[in-house]
Amino acid sequence: MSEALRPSDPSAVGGFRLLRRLGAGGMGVVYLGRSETGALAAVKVIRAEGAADDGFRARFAREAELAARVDSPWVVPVLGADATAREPWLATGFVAGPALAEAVTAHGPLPPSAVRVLGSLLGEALAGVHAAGLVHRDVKPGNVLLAVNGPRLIDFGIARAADDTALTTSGMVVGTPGFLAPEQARGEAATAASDVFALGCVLAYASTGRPPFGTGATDALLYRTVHDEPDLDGVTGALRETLDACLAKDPAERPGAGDLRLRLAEDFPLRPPAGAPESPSAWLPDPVARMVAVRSAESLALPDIEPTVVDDPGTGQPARPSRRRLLLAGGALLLAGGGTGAALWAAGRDDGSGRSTAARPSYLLGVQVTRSGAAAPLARACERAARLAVAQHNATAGRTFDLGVRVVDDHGTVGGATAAAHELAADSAVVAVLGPVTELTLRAASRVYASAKLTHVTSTTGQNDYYVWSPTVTFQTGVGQQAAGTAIALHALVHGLTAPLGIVIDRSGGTVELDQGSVLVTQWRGALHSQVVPKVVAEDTDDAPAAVAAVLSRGVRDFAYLGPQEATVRAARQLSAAGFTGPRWMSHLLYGSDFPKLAGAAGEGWFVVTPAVDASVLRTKAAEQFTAAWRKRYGGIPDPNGAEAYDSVRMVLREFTRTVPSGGGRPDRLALALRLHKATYQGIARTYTFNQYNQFNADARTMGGETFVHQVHDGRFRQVGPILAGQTKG
Amino acid sequence: MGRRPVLSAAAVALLLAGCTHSGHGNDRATPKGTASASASPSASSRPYTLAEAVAPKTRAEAVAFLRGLTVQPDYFGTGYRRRDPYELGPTSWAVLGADCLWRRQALPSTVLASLTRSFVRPGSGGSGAVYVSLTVTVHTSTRQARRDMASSLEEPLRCPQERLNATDTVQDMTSRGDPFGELRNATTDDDLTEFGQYVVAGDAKPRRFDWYKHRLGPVTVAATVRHAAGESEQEQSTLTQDALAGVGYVTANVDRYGRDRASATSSATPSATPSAAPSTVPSASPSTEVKGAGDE
Repeated sequence: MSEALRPSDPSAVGGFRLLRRLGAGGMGVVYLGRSETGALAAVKVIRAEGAADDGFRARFAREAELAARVDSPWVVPVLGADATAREPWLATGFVAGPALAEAVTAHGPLPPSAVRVLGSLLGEALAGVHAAGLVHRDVKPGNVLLAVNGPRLIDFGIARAADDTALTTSGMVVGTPGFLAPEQARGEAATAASDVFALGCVLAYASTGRPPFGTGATDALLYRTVHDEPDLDGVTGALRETLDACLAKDPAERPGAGDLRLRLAEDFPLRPPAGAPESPSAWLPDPVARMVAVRSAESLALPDIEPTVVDDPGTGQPARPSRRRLLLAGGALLLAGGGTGAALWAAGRDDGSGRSTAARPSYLLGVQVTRSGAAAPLARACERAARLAVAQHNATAGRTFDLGVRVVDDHGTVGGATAAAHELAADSAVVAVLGPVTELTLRAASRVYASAKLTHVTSTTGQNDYYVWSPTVTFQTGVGQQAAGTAIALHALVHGLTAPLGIVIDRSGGTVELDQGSVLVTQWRGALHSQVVPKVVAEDTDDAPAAVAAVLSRGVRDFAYLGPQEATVRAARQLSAAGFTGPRWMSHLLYGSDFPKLAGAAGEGWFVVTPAVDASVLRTKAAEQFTAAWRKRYGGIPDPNGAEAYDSVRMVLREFTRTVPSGGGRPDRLALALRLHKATYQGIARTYTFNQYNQFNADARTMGGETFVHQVHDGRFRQVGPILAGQTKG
Repeated sequence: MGRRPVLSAAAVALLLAGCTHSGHGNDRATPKGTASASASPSASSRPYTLAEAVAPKTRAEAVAFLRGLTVQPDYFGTGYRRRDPYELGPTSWAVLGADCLWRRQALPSTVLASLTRSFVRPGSGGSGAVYVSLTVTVHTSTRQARRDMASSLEEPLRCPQERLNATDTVQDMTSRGDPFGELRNATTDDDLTEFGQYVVAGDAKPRRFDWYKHRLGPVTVAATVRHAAGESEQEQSTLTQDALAGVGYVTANVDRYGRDRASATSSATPSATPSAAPSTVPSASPSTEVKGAGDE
């Protein structure tokens, strides 16, 4: 995107210190520069020979002055210029986004809604340019940059005559063939209406992926521009009418630039519905938004760039401090994540009414799971829980809608999770989703759900940064990973197990293990006032046995191994062989795993502390009913993690039902998320409420009375009870 | 090509630097002479890395690599300049002892070379000086570098207070380590982020202290940022952001070094030195540099 300065380059121009080269053309070089106040700028420096002509300098000066008066958020601002310098220069604001040309080349045409936004805002931009007395003269896909919150028009009318004019031998055509108006093609002066024609070409290109007058030799392009009808195949509706008008051969017939917004503004998605949190607008389709986000993120790495570079000019709110604290990496992370996620937008969703039967509408509950690998047991539990809850819904008299289940396997990969989420989001009958089930798949899928405004709940994850890019529709009913670390400490405290603790955090288990482990260490030392001997094991090294041995040699009396199943089994065998019989904890993620079977005798006595309940041993009415229903349908006791998935679905369905308008009809997708955020739901063994990050609220009560200790006994997990017995919900 | 939805600012720098090589084989329409950040890959599906095959193999190669790596003071933001002494190493590094005191020690056999460069942004007006140190270390293998990352993650767990010298302490450090594959904002093979407090005995208030450590194959790039006293949250955030960007530039340079070596090898014109311009090298000083933080 840029290259280092060359020895021949100046180190400063005007008040701008030059940082890198952005590009070079026949006329000069464009640099990335930094102003004295720290703002980044694109500084275009014209070679002295290019400015030899006095006429050029005069025009340059006049236009720079006019351009500085343009006031539109969609036009890059002029920061400074000097036409009298030996090498004249012009500095404009630096925009990190890709050009429309790049986006379309890479990802194909934009959906009609995005084109409408583009047309509407570029119309505003041109109106601003025209109001300042300028004509842009070179509106083309390469001069439209895409940012998270809208397009930016660049390079207006200034300092490009010499390199861009020489298109015909007469030297009179200014602009880019294929994107210029017939009058320009004939060599006449460009007017405001010529810009509108060019904008029509740009929008046509954005809609179809093809320049409307084709490609090829300049002469042929100019001829077609003057004589042929534009290629607008596939463009329909109001957008088609607007493009037809913009592309009228007669300049007098074209609309004014400022009129485009009115023509295109319906369904303008730049503002969220009332009550929804303000977020950077999701106006671009997913892959393009990703591209924009990457560029925006890149710009964060430039020296001195302001973190607000892509913020909505109208709503530049500072990031909440609490969010920053939430993310250990601080602001950089927040901004990068926010830029990426918030910009995603699943194109072409139809929020019309679902498939309906004569009497009741019928909707779908989506279930996104990973059926292979370590997550397979979670997939099974979630799928079964969802089907059970949906069957119960459909057996309810007086229900206002019927429900089906649509399960998608995401194969546990980022690509699979993204595709699965798109599939569910694109199905207009899907009203909510249970899943996905792992952190990695949630990381990918939550972005898609956020853009599609489709509420989804996962009961098996617990990292805390999804909120950054999906602040509204992503809910987690599982315990936070850090709360899981606290739960172990609480268990030790309440049950008198506190003693010097050896803890091995195995990085092959992923970042979740460090999330749990570092909190556990802090709590053990700070709240339990006991000693800790921590070890962190590098991934792919086979260093774990040595770490376990090193920790044991320090005389610890408690032990926690936070790692994946196989490594934990191996640690259990090692501890057993060493005759260690003190309290031992595994990661809460191993509840329901094959650990008891695989570890055999060495696994006996190991604890796992988790909010996941074994409802079959609870004597409450809710637990008994759930267990009986599960047993009836599936012929056995509920799968581990099944109760929480079931609770999650029931809660979502209850809240969804409450969003259905009283007269019937399909509720807005976002309404569910807004309700759910405030909901309190009494589940089988837990009370669900959400914190500001839409994570399960782990407070003193849920931590003590609704978090369960299980111990491996006779080759299986046996529920000992809640950490604080006697507080279980009845 | 895999998708990479999450990027951190540091990663970002990498992309930035990586963009001169598009490496994806598809030509895109790029605006010429515009303000656009054009022609970079649309997304990075690979981390900044350094293949073992092209990494320095001997101490001499490692030292040449470290000396040749470009690290400009303004990578970290405006106003930074080299400290005096500027460099520490390349035959010693800082180690956190069992007593939680940082000391410089001779390199172990698993490390080929380690070089710390120190920068300062002098205080102005009411604000104090900001110190940045950057330590690049070449390990004998990727596996050894992974072990070094693990031991770095372990440090704040075993030492709630890390003593730097008689008066300075780093405390309340919180850390996370993000391998690239988890999509959790990593830009290199493995990114470590820590922040906490820097306490100077006698000072009324602690300052903020940031620590970053990235792994690219067998190379680790670590940076510390010791903030000035009395910064606003906004100033802290900007400083952190800028410094992180600087680390990003360095990791990008390491990545580019590897790619250059790889292409040089494949085109049978091997080159043993980095493409970057050699930096001027003041003589190393035997000061007790600790956790890359240096002393006042």
